[in-house]
Amino acid sequence: MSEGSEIAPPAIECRNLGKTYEHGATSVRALRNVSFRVMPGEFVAIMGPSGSGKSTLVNLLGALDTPTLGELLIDGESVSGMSDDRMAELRNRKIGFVFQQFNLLPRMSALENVMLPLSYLRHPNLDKRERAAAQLEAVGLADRLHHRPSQLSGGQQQRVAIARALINNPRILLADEPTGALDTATSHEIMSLFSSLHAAGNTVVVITHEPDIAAYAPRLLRFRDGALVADVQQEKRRARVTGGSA
Amino acid sequence: MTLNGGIQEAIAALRSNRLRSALTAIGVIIGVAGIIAIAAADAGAKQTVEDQVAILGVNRLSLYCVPSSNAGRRGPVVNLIDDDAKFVKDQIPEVAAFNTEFDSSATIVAGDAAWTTQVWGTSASYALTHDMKMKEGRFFDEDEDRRRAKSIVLGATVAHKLFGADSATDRRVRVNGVPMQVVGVRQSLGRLGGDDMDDHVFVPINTVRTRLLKEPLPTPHQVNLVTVRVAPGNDLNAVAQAIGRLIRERKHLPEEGQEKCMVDNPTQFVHLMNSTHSALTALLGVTTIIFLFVGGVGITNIMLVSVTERTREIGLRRAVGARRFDILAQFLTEAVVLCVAGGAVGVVVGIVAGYVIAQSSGWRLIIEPWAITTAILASVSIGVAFGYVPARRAALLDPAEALARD
Repeated sequence: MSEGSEIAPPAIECRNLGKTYEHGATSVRALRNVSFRVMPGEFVAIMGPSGSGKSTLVNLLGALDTPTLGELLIDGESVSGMSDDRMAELRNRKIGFVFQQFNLLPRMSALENVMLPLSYLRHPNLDKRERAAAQLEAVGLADRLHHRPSQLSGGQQQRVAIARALINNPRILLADEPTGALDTATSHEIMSLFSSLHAAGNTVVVITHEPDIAAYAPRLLRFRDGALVADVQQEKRRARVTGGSA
Repeated sequence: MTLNGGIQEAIAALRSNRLRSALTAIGVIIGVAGIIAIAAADAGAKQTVEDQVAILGVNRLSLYCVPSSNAGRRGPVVNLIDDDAKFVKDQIPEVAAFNTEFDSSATIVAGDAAWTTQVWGTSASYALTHDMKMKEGRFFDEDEDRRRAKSIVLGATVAHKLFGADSATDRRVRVNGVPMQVVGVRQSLGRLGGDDMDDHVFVPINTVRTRLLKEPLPTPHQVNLVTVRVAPGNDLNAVAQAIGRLIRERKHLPEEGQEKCMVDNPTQFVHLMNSTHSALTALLGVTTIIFLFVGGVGITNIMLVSVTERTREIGLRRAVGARRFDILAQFLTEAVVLCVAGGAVGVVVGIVAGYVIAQSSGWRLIIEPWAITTAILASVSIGVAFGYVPARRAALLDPAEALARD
């Protein structure tokens, strides 16, 4: 969690970022010449139609993939040329993922799912259970610790996933279409949760194709055909419950 | 991830698909059960052979003659007599001792109890040639043999049948109606390949030949069997051949090949049985290895399916910080846990199978600790060897692609 200090490096810094996929003879430029910064404590929405390079960008920002051009720094660390193990460590310590399909492990309880990132932490053991329980409590699931994912609603499952993403105090909370599998009401509950996490000082990046969802973020980055086409500050609409035109 | 945590997770993952896990482990279960059962049967059979050698005696030869022709034409009747045995002893220096035997059978009565058994008429030297150990009393001596004494030594089974747990020494019995006095009871030899080794009695050979037979013998000093004890350090087969030659000359019998009188080395038979058994063990061993291999291939197969099914889980774990090594370790641990669980079941199945084999063959059941250690080590090795390919495939998955997979 960032303290928002002046000297802290940007949470994300992209410098002329590019990604080209090679498919045999053909190559696809999924991302071209992308530059932007996200400062600690910001809440940013990334929007674009499918094929705009959003997924590629998520993989790069989440240190799941490396850029073919340019440079990406996460909390001041350059991802380019990083070893596979270093990238795993970076993901573990600095990035909290939230996915459209929640990606909870079905045979584990909510508590065990939240504890999962701690088991890959190369530190002396902390009070894993207490930390995980506290995190679940923070997302409003204090009474669901021992439920399996199949015993939880979609919104509850996504809350478990958010608790899991927060367990290691990441620099960035990276949510890829977090409301894509939820109904409208639940979607807005989840977005309200992100807003309050942002208010508590977390850096939040939400990738979405829904204007309603993007509207929760004060800053919006629009992508088209692999390029950043707009970077705008927008009025917060965290109180909205029903959809409207953006 | 800690080893303990990893094992617990592996168990949870395997339990979530119990039937598949159990079916996957069957090859390993059978293979390991095979190792245990074969090792048990092998050790049991070896022990049985050793028991047999101990009972049959390592330095003993048996000399006997076939009473009449068996080649279709009638030859002269060949009978061994006491003097033949003495002659062998005098002529062949390697012969340290001998005893003569004339066997019959009789019903022995003591009070209300009666028991029909073999009567071994022997010279007093039997106790010497056969290293006889007594449970109680004594064996008869040469003097009793010479004066055709009515002394009898009981085998343990006979003593039990006639007198139960009571002492038999000095008790009176009737053997085919002839009153005799029990002078001792032989220590039990137990069972050998299902045969009771204690169901017989000893009576001096002269007593048998003159008092217990219904009709007098045509040759008064006739002998069924001569047992020769060879002095230690001599080649038993060479001594056996020398004895054979000597008896053929003395009895004016044809050359070797038309054997009327034979010299046996009883341990030879045991060694033959032993070598047959070793060949069988080797064959079963190869079969077991094939089973373990097939079991291992089954594990590779199912683990590959499991990796494919759990691609998203692998992607998620990578996203939250698992290194390639963590994923490799996770799937290897699952394979090893599955194999060790299969191995443990296999050990139990193997012990049960070994017990059944031992019961049906009359062998002893011997479960050696090394067999269990080997079985468990084999299980771990199979888990590592056959789990490696799928585990490596899981570890090398691209995390972004794995997460995008449906």
